Amino acid sequence: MTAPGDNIIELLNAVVDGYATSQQRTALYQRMRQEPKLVRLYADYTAVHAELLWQHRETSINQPENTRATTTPGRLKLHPAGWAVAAALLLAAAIWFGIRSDFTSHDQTDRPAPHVGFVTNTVNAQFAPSSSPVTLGGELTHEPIRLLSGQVQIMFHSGAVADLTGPCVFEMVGANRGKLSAGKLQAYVPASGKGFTVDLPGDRRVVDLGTAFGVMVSADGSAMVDVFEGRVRIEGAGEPRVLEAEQVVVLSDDTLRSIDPSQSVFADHHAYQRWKRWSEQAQRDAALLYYEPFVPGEVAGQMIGSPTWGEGRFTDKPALTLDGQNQAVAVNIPGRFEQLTLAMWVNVQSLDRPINDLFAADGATASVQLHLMHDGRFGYAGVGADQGRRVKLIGPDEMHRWIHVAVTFDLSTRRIHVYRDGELVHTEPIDATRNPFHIGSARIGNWDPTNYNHQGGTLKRGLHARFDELLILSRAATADEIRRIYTAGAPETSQAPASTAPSISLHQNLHQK
Amino acid sequence: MADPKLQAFSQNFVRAQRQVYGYIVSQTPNRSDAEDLFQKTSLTMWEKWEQYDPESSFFHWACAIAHNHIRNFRRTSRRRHLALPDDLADTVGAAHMAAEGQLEARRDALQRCLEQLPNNQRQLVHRRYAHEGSLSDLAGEMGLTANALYKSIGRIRQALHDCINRRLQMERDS
Repeated sequence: MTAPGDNIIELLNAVVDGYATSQQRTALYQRMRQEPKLVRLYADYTAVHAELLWQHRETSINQPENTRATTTPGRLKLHPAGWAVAAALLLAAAIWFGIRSDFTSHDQTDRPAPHVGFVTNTVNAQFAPSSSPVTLGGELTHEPIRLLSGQVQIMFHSGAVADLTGPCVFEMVGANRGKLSAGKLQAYVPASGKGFTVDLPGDRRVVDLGTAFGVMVSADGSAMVDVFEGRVRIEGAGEPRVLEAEQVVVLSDDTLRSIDPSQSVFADHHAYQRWKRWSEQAQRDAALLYYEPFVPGEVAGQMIGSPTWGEGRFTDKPALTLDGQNQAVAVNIPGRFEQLTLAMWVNVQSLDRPINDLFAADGATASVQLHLMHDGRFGYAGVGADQGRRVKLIGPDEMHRWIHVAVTFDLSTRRIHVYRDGELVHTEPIDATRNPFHIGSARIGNWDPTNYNHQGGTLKRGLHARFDELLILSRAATADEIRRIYTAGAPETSQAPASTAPSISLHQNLHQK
Repeated sequence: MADPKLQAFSQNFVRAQRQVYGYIVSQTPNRSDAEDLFQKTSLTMWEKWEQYDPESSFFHWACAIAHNHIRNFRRTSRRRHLALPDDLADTVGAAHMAAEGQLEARRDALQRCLEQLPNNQRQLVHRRYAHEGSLSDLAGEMGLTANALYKSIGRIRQALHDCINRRLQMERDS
């Protein structure tokens, strides 16, 4: 072998290709220390090496399965759209490189099963005993995922994301292709994953044309396809057919029939999208004082006592759970107001105390406070009236369900209006001597009694509940507005028709070896 | 699905992988070492995903994790002589991170430069990088001496490097 001389490129090649002697390494490092520009050269040169290594992993993984075990001379298979598009494909190499511990085998015929994606989220997921281990961040192979209950989110190497809801049997058959044998899947496909395909029973398939969609395969092999955004193409059910957003079809035998979106098993997703559109609009309201949609990582208020995230109104969005002890969200809303609207979505878990605060300004008696009494009656304080305590807002059998509570205070009409689920349930006059309303520092789901001097009062007022939205306006919303707010945010309660829901007959499929 | 924060993390993870891999290779060019370190870095990222501050650079956060694994490699591995020494690792790592904004353009340029290579050279690049054994073994398979293979690969790599720089310079000038 010819020893590289002083030529810096020769030294770099020797290091990159692994044949540099210790003297040559020392010489290179010495020159890099003396000539800072060589650091940049070294970084750029090794970057070429790194890219070539990376690209060839992608090439290997994206080859058809029957050619994957061997590499063919001259078959340099760059991704057709080049490096830029391949950015989303890098996960293939990420997993291949990143998670295998036995990758260094030199015998390519001994390669383990190829990895086609990884797990990006799980929620209460229970798997059949025969299912491959599925853990957050873990790699996935062609082995079927048999999900008994809960949810799993997986990301394909193409960048396509699939949410699986149990019971469900799903198999990743390629870097951009999966097979849904039973259950429910929602797919979100970025541009890099265009063409993402879900194979269905009966040699039918859904092919993405740049979109988000849901598929549900029933126990009898029929399938429902619901397009959320963009378009998909249905193949294998007669002539190929392109579906647009908001279109829903049921594939049964060789027939394809359209159904109303409200009958879709993914109606919840549509409800979520409807709420999101309304939410964006609501945040542009000039009278907005405070808006808290309770999105993880983006809560505007100060979280007190480490609240947790739980099931929300929509499958796609969690809600904040407060334990009724010390947990709360602290906010500050300065100013004094002639009118106010407070509207919230709450799911009460229990009413453990005489007074359980929904929202309460801190301590001072002349500030707005909303609460639920131990028997489900609604109450407020600091607003110049207290007859609202006569209103039963939640019955004993209405725990654990989402309700919408809205209250408007209006000094111009001197009325309070109380709404539940968009309907007026109570109104009463406000004290004629009442001053403009004040909130200041306040807490959601609790209160701070530090400044509360009333002897014998109830100090512990934490509400054990899940909160999914709080809207506060500096005007009194009309009854129509409150109804629209409720309608825009109401969770979808319709269930899948019995004939399309996964049934117990999935059991055998889920547990098969 | 619930937890958009985790979803955002996953997307960042996907986007940053290639660059993080490049960061590791710049300090440990040997493939199997880089793979092991990349594996450890990926797992640590998943273990600590909740500690990532979405307001900060995901790439820099990931590089910091990789940096710790590489440093540990330099201290404990029998193959530590193949890694950059501490002082140069810091400067090369900083140079790599500083070039974050150019990495995509360099990748695009590399792609075009590869396409311009004569077929036989492109095939040689493929065989070198698809081959997981030693280059000496590959040379034997190809009926070449190791020295001839090293030289050929070295010349092609230099040509690619120069081609990338020319292309980027042309884009800057245009």
